[in-house]
Amino acid sequence: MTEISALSIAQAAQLIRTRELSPVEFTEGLLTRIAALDPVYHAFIAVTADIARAEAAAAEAEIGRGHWRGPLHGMPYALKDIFDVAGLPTTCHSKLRIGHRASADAAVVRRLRDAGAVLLGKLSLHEFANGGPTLELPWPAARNPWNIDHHPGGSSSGCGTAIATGMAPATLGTDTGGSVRNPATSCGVIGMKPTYGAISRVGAFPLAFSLDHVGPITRTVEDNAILFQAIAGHDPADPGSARRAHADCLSGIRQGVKGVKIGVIAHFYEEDMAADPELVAGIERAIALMKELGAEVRPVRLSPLASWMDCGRIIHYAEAYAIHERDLQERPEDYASITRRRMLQGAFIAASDYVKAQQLRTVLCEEYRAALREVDALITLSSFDLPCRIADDEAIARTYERQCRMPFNVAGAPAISVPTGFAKEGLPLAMQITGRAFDEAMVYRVAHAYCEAAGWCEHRAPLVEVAKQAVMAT
Amino acid sequence: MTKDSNAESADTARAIAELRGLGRAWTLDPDMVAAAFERGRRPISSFPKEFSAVTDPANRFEAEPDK
Repeated sequence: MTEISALSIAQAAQLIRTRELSPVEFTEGLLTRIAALDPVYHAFIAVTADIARAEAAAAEAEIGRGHWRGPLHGMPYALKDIFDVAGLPTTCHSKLRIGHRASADAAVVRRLRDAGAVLLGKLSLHEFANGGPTLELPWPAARNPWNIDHHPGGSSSGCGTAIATGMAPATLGTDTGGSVRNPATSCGVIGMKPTYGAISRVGAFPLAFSLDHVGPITRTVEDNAILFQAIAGHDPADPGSARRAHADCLSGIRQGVKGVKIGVIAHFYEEDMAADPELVAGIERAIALMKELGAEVRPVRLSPLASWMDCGRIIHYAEAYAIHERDLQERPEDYASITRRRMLQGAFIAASDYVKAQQLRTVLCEEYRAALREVDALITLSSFDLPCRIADDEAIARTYERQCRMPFNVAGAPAISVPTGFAKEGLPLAMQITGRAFDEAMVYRVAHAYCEAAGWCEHRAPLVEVAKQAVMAT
Repeated sequence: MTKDSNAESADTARAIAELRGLGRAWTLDPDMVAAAFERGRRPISSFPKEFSAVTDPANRFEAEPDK
């Protein structure tokens, strides 16, 4: 059998269903791996070993009685520590939340419990999903598995790190301006920001209400679709939740891209902002492969990237400030300086600029919908720079502005980050595939066809020596 | 920008920060608040030709309002 840390959700589910893999042994194996690796990679804020063991034992017993709930039954997963789990703190990686205890499960946690999944723990993030890696916080920042001196992306940093190191096969993050896709991009894994309203956000600490999305981060596209299927659907408790059933994303995932019309938004990274040449080379190779697979590829133009970014920036910071105003007034010193710097700009955004940003959003969304009437999916880059060194504050501040993930938060459209290879220094390259609202099925189909043909998801981050020795000692 | 206009801008930033209840944040790091003031006031750089002052804002955002 494949080593358990390398099992995909799809593979493990099949083995669990046929009782060739015990959820208890699977969980214990991953808890052991976390104990060995996390002191190096810092993906976890809290490991919920007792909960994991109890849930794994319950799943094993139920499956033993012949009742298999589905592909997540007995499946270990971990959560960005922004989701509530009843009885546990939701730290949001912030000193301000020390002492917090959640009184109820987040909606997605309830759905995963119902599916029989096993909670391994809660994962590190940028403070309130809006800061950056810093030594000022009570918990260390997660490290990039491909080079621990580099940034794993954020804000759902621990999700990317846990997946790429094989500490968990499934994680959930949140994405307001790219926070699921950035760690997926930086860690060489798969991160999906679904359509706005497709997954309930109840019990996830908000950053900016009208841009917030919940999204899965996994090692394969199929795994990502499995997780999405389990947690998507209407929730009357979330005012942003869409009143519609989501489409089946799994049955058509292997249909390939022959005849599929794919638009390339190249002006974002060629004209509007110059991206790193290795990232551009990566997406160009991916485009060539899509053509070989039978896709009809054509250029697509949208408004300049600056319009999308300005629109998103104003909405993001105005809404975030509304949430944090009181704490920024009364206890600003309790935020890390990188978080405070970002949050404070929201205090000075004029009401008319916020309204204009929402007006602009109306126009940009129509423009996006019009483009998707001509093609089935779009591709463009994700980050415009390789993951920078984690201790380089200036590079971190600079690279957060140099990306094109925010446009798809503004449009509320599904967007997935998939790996496109590796840079010369061994760090991952990536691009995004996006689609029509509520057409996650097409996005997953295109991503699956590309990833299966390209094979980048098969690559595993090499463990650093100290981590390798810790694993060998277990 | 001249030294005088920088000082004027910092004075404005401080006054508005204090008005917004951010005196404590200003005392903690005035440069950070002044930079946030500049950044927060940065307007949208360009609008598509379809934009007009009477466009309905996406007050209650829906990804696909026509369905």
